[in-house]
Amino acid sequence: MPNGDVMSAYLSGEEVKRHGKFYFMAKRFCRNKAAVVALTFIILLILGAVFCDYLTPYDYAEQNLAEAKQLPSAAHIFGTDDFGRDIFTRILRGARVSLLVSLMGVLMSTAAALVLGSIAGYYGGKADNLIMRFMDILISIPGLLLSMTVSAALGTGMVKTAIAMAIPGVAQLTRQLRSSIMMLKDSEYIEAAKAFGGSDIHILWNHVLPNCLSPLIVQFTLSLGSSIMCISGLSFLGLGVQPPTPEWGNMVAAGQDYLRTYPHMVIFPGLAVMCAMLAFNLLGDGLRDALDPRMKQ
Amino acid sequence: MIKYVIKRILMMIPVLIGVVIIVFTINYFSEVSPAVILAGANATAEDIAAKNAELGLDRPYLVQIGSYFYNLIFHGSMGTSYIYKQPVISMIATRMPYTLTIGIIAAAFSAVVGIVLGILGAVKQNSIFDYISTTLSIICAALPPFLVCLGLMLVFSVHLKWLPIQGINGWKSYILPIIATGLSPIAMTARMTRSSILEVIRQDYIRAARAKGVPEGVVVWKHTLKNALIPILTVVGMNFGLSMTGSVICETIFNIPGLGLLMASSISQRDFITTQGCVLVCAFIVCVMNLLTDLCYALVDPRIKAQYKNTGKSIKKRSIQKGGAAA
Amino acid sequence: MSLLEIKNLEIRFNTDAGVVHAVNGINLTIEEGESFGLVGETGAGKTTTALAILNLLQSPPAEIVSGEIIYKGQDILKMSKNKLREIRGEEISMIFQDPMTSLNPVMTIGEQIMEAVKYHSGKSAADAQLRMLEMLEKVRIPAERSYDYPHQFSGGMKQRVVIAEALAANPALLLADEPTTALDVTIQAQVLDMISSLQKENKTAMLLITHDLGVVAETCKRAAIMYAGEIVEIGTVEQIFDSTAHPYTKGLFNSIPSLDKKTDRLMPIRGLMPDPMDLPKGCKFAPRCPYADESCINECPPLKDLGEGHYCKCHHADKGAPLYFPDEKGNELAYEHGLPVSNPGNDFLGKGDGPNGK
Repeated sequence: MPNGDVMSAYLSGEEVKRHGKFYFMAKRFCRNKAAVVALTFIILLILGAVFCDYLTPYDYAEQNLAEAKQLPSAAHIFGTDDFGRDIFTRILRGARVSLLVSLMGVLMSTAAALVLGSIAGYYGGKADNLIMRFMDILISIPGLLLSMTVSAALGTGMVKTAIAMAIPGVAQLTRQLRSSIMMLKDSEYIEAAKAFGGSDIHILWNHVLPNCLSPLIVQFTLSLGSSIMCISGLSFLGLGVQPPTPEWGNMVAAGQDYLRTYPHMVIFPGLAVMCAMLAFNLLGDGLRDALDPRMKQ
Repeated sequence: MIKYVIKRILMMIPVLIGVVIIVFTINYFSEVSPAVILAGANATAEDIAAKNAELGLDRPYLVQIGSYFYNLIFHGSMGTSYIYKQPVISMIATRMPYTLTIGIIAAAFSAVVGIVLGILGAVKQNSIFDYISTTLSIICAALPPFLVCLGLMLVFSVHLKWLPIQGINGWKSYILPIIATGLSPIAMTARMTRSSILEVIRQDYIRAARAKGVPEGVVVWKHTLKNALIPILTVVGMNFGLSMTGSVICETIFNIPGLGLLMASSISQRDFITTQGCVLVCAFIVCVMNLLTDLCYALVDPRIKAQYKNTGKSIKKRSIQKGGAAA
Repeated sequence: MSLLEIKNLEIRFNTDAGVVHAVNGINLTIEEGESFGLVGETGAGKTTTALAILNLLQSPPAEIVSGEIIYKGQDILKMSKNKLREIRGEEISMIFQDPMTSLNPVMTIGEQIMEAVKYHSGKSAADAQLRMLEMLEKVRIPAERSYDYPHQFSGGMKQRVVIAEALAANPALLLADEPTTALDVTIQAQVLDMISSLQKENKTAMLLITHDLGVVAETCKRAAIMYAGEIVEIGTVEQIFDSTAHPYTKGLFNSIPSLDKKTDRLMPIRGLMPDPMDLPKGCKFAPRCPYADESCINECPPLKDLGEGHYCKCHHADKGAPLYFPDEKGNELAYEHGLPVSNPGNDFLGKGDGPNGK
């Protein structure tokens, strides 16, 4: 019936060979309009973050008290803050911090999870038990709390905030990777690779991990979004990235006092967090459908 | 079954010990010592050393952590706050009711609304209603908590003046925090319910039930929902833990004297012993919620119940989560 | 009037990849109390047909393009939801292919059997329970197990539960969709016997869907062979086995090992079933048929009447010409139409005893 069988019958081997696997992934991805919009937004955001110094006539740090607390206008499309700084410029500049810190954090937690998850999933036994019990402990501390504690201990700054972000992320990624490796470990082609005398590292790297890649990429994308949210939460609470470095969370915190009269100082940075999170979530969903069409409803 | 519960409760102990050790270790190696903050801006090295000695922070790592456990186990004490000079446990106890009230009501309300929305979305798949509720839940899941809190405050307290802005002053003060805490759980529950129901509704046994002439309402509410409930329960249980996290930001904004505000202030003031107590309590709540969720699985799925009964071994949630297909 | 009459039924699935033509204009009738076999390969459209009879196809993607399914004088496809619900289970019920997945894992089997009775007119809960216990006895499952859940049963027992469920409301028509395929060979016969005897006992008509010609020979009076969404041959079991008319049917017989005849190698039908998204213009079997000529490729053959209710959808059906399939070496095994000795179907039945001649 019209399920996977028909679909795979439809894609003849030759067609797959001609275009490659990637072509079909891209095709499936492009069919998901929301994901394409999200990807575009993220690319624009990255470009904006990189070139923010050239994109607007204002400086993100320079105070101009004469123009303080202006509502959105043609000159300042998102208005100005209490020191007369252009909020749009600061949001772009803040994107640099948010994107960079969350990327660093997620890369760190992914690297840690790759090592820990591989050991736990592939070797099992005592190592698995030890690692997973440790993860049980980490996962029972609510993520933001753990980040806050680490951040308070380490102090502020981008790298330190990234570390604070990474630690709670490790547990979830490790668990996920471990379970996919455990499922793959017993499959016949891994047995075959073992029978050919491949070393553990070789088998892990060449046979096991590539097959865990799709869920990992999806989780990576989703984590980028949630860590942007988490970073802004930390900065909002006065941890993490500190003023004068603009970060969406600390911009909201600074604007909070003017909520009654100048809500734009809170709303725009807040919306920036929301849009970034939304974009990464949609991108993650789109990637999941594209990489693994079986998951699609 | 009781054997299983006891076993699970016993398994919580090493986890909680681990939590204490981790948080303690993080704090021990803190860049800024609590003494520095307490001693004030103009303190000399001697002042700081004196403060350290006063708080017992000059003792070796193992002694400090040992005495924390000793007090915790034999005196039921979580130490005394560096800042407020009060027993941490009593501070937590006075603040807990606010956080729990908000957390429980928000969790219950988000579970009910989320499940109903999810079911309606799945049953009327691809209708306008489904489209709107799916879009809304994607957006709600991406809303940062501070934006929700400030936005609600702006609309309902500042402009409409229907509800108090900050603090706890009668039942009305709870409304906005509950909505703010419940919004993203509603979205997550609705999404999970929808996808879980769509997964179950195409199973053969649902078709078989329809072939028997079972009315559509019974098919959805009895046959489908019960099978779809495991992942939904997981999300609902997880959301309760998340509401603990959310309380930090929500209580800071609404100025509610709950656990979240205590955590936020203790962390920023480096009142580590208080932080530690708060984290321990949160971890305990999360563990209890996990246990309750796992016990609910057994109520829903006879296969899981049988596993609990037979082996008494811990059932790893992740193996069950995937559609409840226990072999 | 026939119990069930399918007229010109055409069903397709509109998928992302294209339109799947699952059922392409089939006609068949089932009389009261009759057992009718519907035979074909996986993907021939058998299950789709059965689901259409209960109007259970998920739409979208399924779309019933045209046709009528007349049950006791009423078109099922035009019935209201309520009327449909009344018919399902009580008038027409279905046994699904895989008992592992067709029982709800979180409900006791007793509950599930009772449901078949409970939701139909004028049955109290007590009636339903009595009937449930009666059915359990009939399928030889101890009554105390009615409180057990599906995971506590073996595959064969589960299928017996499914049978009890399907027959609990005493339906006039039972659709059995490959009821034994998912079971161990050793219990297939047992389950099949149980279905047959209960069906005869209750005078229930049965549409048995299978890919196993042996099962049809054992259980059915009449049968239809389906290929790529079409019925290519229809008739009594004797007609189909003794005077096989369609090349595809012959191919099917050739693919089955026979105990009675020594065969060095089986003769499979060359090639694959056509892509249901891109069906051949003429005869759907033409690309695989050793007999195909110009007319087969260009023109869809009509269902030809071969007399006494035996129909065949082949241009060459009534010419009496020999039908043969070349084997891999190019040797040809000739079949003479109407000559039972050389008919592979006859070998299969065993010394020409006839299908129900035991």
